[in-house]
Amino acid sequence: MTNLLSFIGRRLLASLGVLVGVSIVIFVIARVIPGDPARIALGPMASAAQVEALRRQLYLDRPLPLQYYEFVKRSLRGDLGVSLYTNRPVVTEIAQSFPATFELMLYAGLMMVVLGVPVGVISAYYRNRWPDAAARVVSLLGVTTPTFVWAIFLMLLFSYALGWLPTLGRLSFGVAPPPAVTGLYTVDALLAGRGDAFWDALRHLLLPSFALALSGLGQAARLTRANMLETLGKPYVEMARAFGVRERTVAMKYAFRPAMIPTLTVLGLDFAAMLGNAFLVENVFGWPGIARYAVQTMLHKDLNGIVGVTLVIAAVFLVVNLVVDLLVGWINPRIRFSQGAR
Amino acid sequence: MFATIRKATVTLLVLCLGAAFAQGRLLRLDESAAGELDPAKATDYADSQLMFNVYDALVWADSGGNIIPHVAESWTTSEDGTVYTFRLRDDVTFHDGSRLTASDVVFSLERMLAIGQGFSYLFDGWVTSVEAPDDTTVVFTLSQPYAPFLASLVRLPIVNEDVVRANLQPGDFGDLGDYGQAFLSTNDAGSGAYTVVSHNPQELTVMRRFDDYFLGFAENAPDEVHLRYSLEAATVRALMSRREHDITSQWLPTEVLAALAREGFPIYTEGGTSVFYITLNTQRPPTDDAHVRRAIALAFDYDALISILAVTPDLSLGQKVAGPLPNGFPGADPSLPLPERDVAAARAELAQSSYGPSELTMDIAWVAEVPMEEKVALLFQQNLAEIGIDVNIVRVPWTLLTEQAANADTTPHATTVFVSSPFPDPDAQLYSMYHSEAAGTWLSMSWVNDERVDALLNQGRLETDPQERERIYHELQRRLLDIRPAIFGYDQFAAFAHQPNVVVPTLEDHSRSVGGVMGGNWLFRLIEVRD
Repeated sequence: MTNLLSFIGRRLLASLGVLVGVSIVIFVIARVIPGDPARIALGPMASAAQVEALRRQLYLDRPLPLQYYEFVKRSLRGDLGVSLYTNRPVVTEIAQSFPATFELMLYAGLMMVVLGVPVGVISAYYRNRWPDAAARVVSLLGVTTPTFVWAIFLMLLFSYALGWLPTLGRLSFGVAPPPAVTGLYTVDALLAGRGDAFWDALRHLLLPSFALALSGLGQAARLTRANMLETLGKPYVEMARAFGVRERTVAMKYAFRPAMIPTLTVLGLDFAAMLGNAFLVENVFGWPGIARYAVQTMLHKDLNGIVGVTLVIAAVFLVVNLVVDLLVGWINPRIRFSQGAR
Repeated sequence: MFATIRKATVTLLVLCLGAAFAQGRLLRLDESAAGELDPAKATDYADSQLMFNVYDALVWADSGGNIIPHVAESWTTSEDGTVYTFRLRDDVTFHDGSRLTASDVVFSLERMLAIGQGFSYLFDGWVTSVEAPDDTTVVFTLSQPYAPFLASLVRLPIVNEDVVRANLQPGDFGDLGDYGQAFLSTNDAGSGAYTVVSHNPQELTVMRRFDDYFLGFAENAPDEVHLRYSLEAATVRALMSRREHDITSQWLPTEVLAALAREGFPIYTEGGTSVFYITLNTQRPPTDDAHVRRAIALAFDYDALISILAVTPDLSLGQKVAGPLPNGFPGADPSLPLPERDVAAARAELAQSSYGPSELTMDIAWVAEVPMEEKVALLFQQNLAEIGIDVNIVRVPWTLLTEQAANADTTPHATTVFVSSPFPDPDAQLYSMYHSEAAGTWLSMSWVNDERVDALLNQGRLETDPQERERIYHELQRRLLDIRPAIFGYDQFAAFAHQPNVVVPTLEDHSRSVGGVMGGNWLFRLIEVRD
């Protein structure tokens, strides 16, 4: 236990260093992108004096290191500045939009694991038979078709043509959002005992999260299949078979668990990457998430917004990586031991 | 059994009707994000829709762009044109029930100038003082006569001083903290026909009808309005077909608009506030030669440009424009002829230029975020090839273009750009585009430095006699046509598909359109959502 806590502590400390590094890099990059952010924010008719005043307000009239110092000072107070795109505090924008994307990611991640992994297992189990062929075609389609194509296709089919699922947003008109606790509508609705809001939020989540999951789902299926096949050929699996262990037990107990280690690592990265990749899905389904906000901050050269969302995305990557490492350690005791021994 | 089913059906029907009644009439439309709710920071179309429905200004514009009373019931101007005295109505109330008074007007202007964003440039440097001698009188004193002042007041929304003062956060304005910026970014302090229920600048603004509004409502005016932001075209199409959306934004690709038209959705068009230009940089060779610029304007195929804009055989997103102002805009010269292509005249004009054939190469930049502009750039390239000008097409992201536009040497030879007028006065558009002192922004990518143009623009600002002003602007337009700082492409029509039961009177009947005010046709209280 002590080893584990020490491992987590070390990783968190290293993550802090990474975040500082990311903040410096993105801070500089945001400022060398062409275009005067003050002029863009105020529009072409604003006077030169007004533009200059905003530049002063944003510390753009100072050398870059001093600008960064001001940024760090404010950030430590929990102030990431005002978004030039929405004219509201960046912290407010992130607090409002992040839970929406995170909920989308959670459901997409769940689908990746619950659907992708079993497909991979079935595919490996029935190697070169028709279930394998079907699963491979489906997973290949998931990997090769761009997410936005899936998003539009699913929306046109299930929303436009069949009318089964809603098209837009997180809740239907007339359904009041549940009291905010986590910002995740399905969770908050359950906490508040609001079955109507939970069901409505879930219906709104299905299409966008499935569209977002498809690429990772295909990836999960393909990886699981490949790793399962590799493990199924290992001598200890042969030995288990020789001892007369049932084929299903061999697959699930002896082959599946080690096969999950590389799959889990890749799934973790896929999961974190969804935070940025969700942009097109959010656009199609009018999802008020952080990915959409992130793209707009870049298009509007919203310096504070760019830095804010990049830090959030970096932080999510770091946390997901840590969680994946812990999970891998839990699955494989040898890795767990090496973590503790470091 | 049948009785049970019947009873259940009736109950369900009653419940549905009850729900519909409770919701009232709902209007759902969309625009491009972000929707800026603080009236001191508003600048674009969505912001204007919010501004004109949540807040009121002293004056408003009629269909001809003439300024008419609104919160101010009358006004007088001093003989020297520097003092404007407004008499306010006494029956205008804010959403909290308090009366709108002259001190609110004073506070609103001071707040806008202090924050220094949005439309504050319209008043900054011109208004030296604003006073409220009593509850219904406001006196503005200007530093010198400024003829566009009255029209620019359309862009001074009046905020409730007491509400703002009660919601100050720490900020840079001393006792006034943040001047209510944090509060007004998500709440309203207005007197307009609609109050804000909730506002997320990237997703949705929900507004509810303010029944005590002093000008009343149309018979079937919406009880609730949902202004959605940045919806994907495919999503809008699906929503329209499912009758879950009422009016589309003007930003739909023509293919989607055409598809909606084929599905039977009526289309509204709105013109008269925006012109599409191909600016020509007058400081860089070879477009620094007026003969070259005139040749370019003569060689350009205006009919082909209009055909690019066709959505259906009956619907186009633009019409030819004679000069730099939209057709029918205040100050536009109706006697100017519409442009026609004349390749022979273009060649003759080019022959007079100081540049030889090998020197006639140039760039045309189109804005990467507006794919339609690439077609125009290709047309431009093809047209100019016929008179021996070699054109290189460059795709430029908007932020990069704004930086290039800051310097004459980096501004492209030719650039495609749309310019809209924020208020109904020719100065609103022409000064920023063509006065030498206004150079350095994307509006002034022609880099005009012409004494006559400067003089006319200055006169236009100072002249208070309407007829003389009109003469000045007519002369200015002829001068601009002579020196040709741009191809005046077309008067842009914004197109909006809508549900057949939704009627926007200012767009249904163009004679009722609000002249020259961006977003001015979207007064929700006049819109009918019929059963």
